[in-house]
Amino acid sequence: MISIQNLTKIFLLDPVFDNYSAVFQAPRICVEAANGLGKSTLFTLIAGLDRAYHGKILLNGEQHSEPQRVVALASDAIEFPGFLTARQVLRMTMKSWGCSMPHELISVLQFSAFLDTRISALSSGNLKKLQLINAIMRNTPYLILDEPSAALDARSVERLVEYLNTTNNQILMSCHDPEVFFKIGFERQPLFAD
Amino acid sequence: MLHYYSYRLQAFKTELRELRKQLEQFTLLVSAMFFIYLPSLVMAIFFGLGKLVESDSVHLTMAVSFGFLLMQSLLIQTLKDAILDSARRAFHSTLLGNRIHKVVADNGLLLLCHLLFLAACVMAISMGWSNLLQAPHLLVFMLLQCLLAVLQLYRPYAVILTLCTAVGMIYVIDDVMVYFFALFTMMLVGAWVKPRRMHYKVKVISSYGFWLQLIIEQPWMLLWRIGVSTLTYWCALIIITERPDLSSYYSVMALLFNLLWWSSLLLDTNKQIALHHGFWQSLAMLAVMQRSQYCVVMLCCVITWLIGVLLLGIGVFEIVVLLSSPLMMWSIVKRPKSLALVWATLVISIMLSKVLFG
Repeated sequence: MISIQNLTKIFLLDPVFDNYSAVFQAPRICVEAANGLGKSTLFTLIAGLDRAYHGKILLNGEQHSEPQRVVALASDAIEFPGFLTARQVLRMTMKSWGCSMPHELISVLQFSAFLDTRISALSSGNLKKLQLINAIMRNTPYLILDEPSAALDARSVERLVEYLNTTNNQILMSCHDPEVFFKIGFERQPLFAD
Repeated sequence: MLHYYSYRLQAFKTELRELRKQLEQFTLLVSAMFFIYLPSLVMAIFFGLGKLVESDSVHLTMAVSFGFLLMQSLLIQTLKDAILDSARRAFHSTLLGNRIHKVVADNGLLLLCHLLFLAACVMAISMGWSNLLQAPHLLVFMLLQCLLAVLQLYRPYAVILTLCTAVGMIYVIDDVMVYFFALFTMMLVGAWVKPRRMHYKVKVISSYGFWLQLIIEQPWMLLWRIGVSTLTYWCALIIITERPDLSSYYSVMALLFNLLWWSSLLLDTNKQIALHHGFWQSLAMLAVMQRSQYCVVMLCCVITWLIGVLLLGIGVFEIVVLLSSPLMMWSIVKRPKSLALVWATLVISIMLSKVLFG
């Protein structure tokens, strides 16, 4: 369960969240909000990538000093170094978090042929696949997917959905075309209750 | 096609303005500190060209010509993106039916900002045709300058190959014309032989492996610093030979310049950390990466400082220069805009202390 208490986040002088509270309890949630309301910002805060905020973010009732240890995020907000290859990025993740190369997931998303391609040369669809593989491979208790189906072809989205159905971590995601995810038990939850 | 050429000139001017803005504070401070030496710098260029025309030593002529070629390569590399309008290269193709205009515009702008070639032209004109015929190697050198600059726009690897060969051949060849023709041959080889891209990939990227891979992928960030450090130490050696009584001052000054070149490497490394901040956070490696960049930059500063003191000699103030490296690095990370100010303060304090207590 992810619980947000009195969160305030300000970009320059503009508050994105002003004393915001929410609880994400269901095991698979699709967070819904219009563009620009702060979904991606909230995800980076939960994943511990941005620490500049006031308030509390509790994971299963606990406040973590390094939330990235238990939360994996797949998002455009994580910019991979363009001169590294996909394999090098995945190996860094393996080394940092002690996980193994996710051969099955790579094969499911048909990414094997691009492992030795530089990040800067990946297409937007393949970059999205790499973001997903890089996050899912860690098998953390909390998995956050920011627009997982954006730029993916229909077949890849189907395969991703099938794969996610086999995992048992809490998944939070944002998606503007979520119908296919509802089939595997994702529930709608608006970002702001009212 | 006039509209295309007019666009290229406008794009070039805009890029130059951007570059000037980036270097504004630095150039202002350096000019304020060394304005008294600026006329000497211009004179030094013509003095160097004079050595090409007439010199007692063949090796000195070859060394000077190498120095000029290295310096022009560094200057042109800085302006290369502005000359080619690299960011909008594809846009050019939408305007042109024939790529000849693109090549003409590239080379026109190149000549416009090729200061060392223009200086050689001024020298050649002032010498007059009859004198010039007695020093044909100046003409050959000018042709070399031109071709190397053109090569730098389209075949940068050939320039590196030519410069590496040029430095080695100084010690092998005993005739200036043979030296120049050997360089032409290397340029031809470099222009026609397609370089094999280095595909070396660091297997497991650790905090240090990342910097190694960055240098392999973007060698320019090291190459230009090696180039300017070589020129700095070489100039210092020449000045020390001419004025041995002032050697201790010039050696400290050369080391201070070297400190500026190498500590500024932190600007490049820190950019990588800032750009991929989220990525490092997601790996819980942000602090490790920050520490490792200090170690890498400090190592470069120490190695080049060591080379400097081996060439120029060591003393208390030379050691003070090394000890001030962490201060420079700290200022670059905390307030990159104040880099020039911190460096200028260091130069003034160290040189003043040297005058008072040295």
